[in-house]
Amino acid sequence: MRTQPLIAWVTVIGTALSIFLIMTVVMIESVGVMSFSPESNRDRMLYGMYVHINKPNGSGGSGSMSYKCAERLYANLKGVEAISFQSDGAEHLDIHGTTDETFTASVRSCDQGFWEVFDHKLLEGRLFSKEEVEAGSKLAVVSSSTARRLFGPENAIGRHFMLDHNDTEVIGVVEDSSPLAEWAYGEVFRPIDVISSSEWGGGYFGNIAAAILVEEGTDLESVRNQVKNRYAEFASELKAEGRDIIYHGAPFTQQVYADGIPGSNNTPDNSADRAINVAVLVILLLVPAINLSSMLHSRLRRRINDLGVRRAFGCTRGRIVRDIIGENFIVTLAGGLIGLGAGVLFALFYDGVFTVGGESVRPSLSMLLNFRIIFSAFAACFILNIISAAIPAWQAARMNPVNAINAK
Amino acid sequence: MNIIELRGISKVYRTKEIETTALENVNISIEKGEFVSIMGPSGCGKSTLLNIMGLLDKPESGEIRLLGTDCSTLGDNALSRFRNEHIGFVFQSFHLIPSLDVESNIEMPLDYRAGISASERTKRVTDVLERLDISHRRRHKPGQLSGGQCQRVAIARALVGRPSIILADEPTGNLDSRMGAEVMELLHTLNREDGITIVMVTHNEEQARQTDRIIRFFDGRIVS
Repeated sequence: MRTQPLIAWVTVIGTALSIFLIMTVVMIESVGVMSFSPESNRDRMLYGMYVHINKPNGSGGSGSMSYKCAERLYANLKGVEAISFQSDGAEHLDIHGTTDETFTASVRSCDQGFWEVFDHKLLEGRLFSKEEVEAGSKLAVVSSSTARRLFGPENAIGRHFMLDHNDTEVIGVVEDSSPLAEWAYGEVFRPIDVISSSEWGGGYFGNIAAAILVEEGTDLESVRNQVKNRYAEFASELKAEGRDIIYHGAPFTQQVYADGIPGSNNTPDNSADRAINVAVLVILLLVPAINLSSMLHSRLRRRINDLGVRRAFGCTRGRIVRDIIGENFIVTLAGGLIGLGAGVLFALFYDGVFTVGGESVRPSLSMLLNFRIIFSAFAACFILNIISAAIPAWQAARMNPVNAINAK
Repeated sequence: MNIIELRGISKVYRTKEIETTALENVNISIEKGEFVSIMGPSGCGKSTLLNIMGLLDKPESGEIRLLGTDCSTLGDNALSRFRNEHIGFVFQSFHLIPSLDVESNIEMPLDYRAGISASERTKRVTDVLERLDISHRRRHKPGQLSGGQCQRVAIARALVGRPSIILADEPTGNLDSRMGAEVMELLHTLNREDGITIVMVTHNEEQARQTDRIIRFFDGRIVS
């Protein structure tokens, strides 16, 4: 770096740019699957969303489940720590409290299991119970920022507000969460009305989804297999009605969900997308690696006398390779740290990197600076270093010491 | 006892167009503690011989025995280790590493030797710095030194590993006569006091005459 500052800095900046691009891709991928509060156990999560049932006349129907159907497929599975039946997404409804403001809030209808599956941090009051869900109570838990907008600085617990034309009492306040927690996010949480929740299509379709938290140490596949068996049982029952239920691989892991569910009547198969992602990462690594390799080659050409002298005094070829790769790794790591920093800043402050429902969402710093992402950046630096340094280092080590010493 | 024995050494350089014989059936024996000069016109194979003697280059044919070891059969790592432990090199152009200071340049051969503690390394470097009277330059970079000082550093580097053999390729070629004389005096002292065997390629007849023996080369062959 001191002897050839220009080339070294170009290398650092080139590496930084490469790591920046790689980390942007990795961060987008990671935020979809890594755990963060209130979805702190994504590695143990399974999601049941749709059913696909063909009717007697041969036409097919698919969509979200009714509560009855969701219970039939997902309730009381072995190896499950908690399950939440909840609305298949948050609704955007107008709410009005004691302040003059009427505003639209993201309202999630859920059962009491929701609080066990997701770890929302309760700041005040309490969460609703099974009895309150079954009674269809007009209660709500709200996020802290929603509480402030509804009631100002006053304590929100026990206060009432209008939610979807219903007078609703606030029983609890939870910490704000990120919309990137797509299954847990909401500004208002109300008990799901399982009795009168809408049903259609023979009572099999509705607006319910199931979020399943699998017990620690239990294989997710064993739970998925139970559901698969239930589909098979359900299929024989439906046969009597001339209907047929089609299994599309539910419930889905967080990875499958993050990769994208291609509609209610398709089996997710993201192998092509995965291959494209891998190809993009390989290109993002290879293109700069080739450039960095040629720059390292040029750096080494200027040091060829040094390498020859080192060989004369007993340095082995292996040591030459190790030293060059080691030195290059320091430069690559410096570039990687700059690239990671730039990537994090970009993700934090540039709209459009993360979107939920078409709207731009900004992540928190803790989501971006986690072990998975830092490890990925480190691994990318290491791979970039190996790809870019291996050939020049090998060539330098193979050079005849006499030719190296006498090189001009 | 012969510390260096070359038997039937030949070396041919080949390009697509031509073949050049650099050494032809060269036989040399050098005893332990000898100070030998190799002389001859440019391109006669002196440096090639020194490189083969120093295990930096391989001959086309022939046998190299150094300190009783048949080095012709050693692999690359073993050759590196042998050079590190037994041979010191002094080059005409010094070949100090410009980014390292004097102390680090001198310490470099010890970086490649296993089993030497940090304190031992420091001690050895300090000893040679003092012996060659360059302690006051230990933090200087080669670019801040005169030619004579650079060659002293280069000799210190060759000496720090306590080699049995020093191979010097025109060690005074880039120095003025006063500095050249100083370097020659230093080499004679090392030969006399430490018993180090020195083989020196030189064009300087006067310096060659001060050594124990002169081997004269012409067209890749020993002529006297």
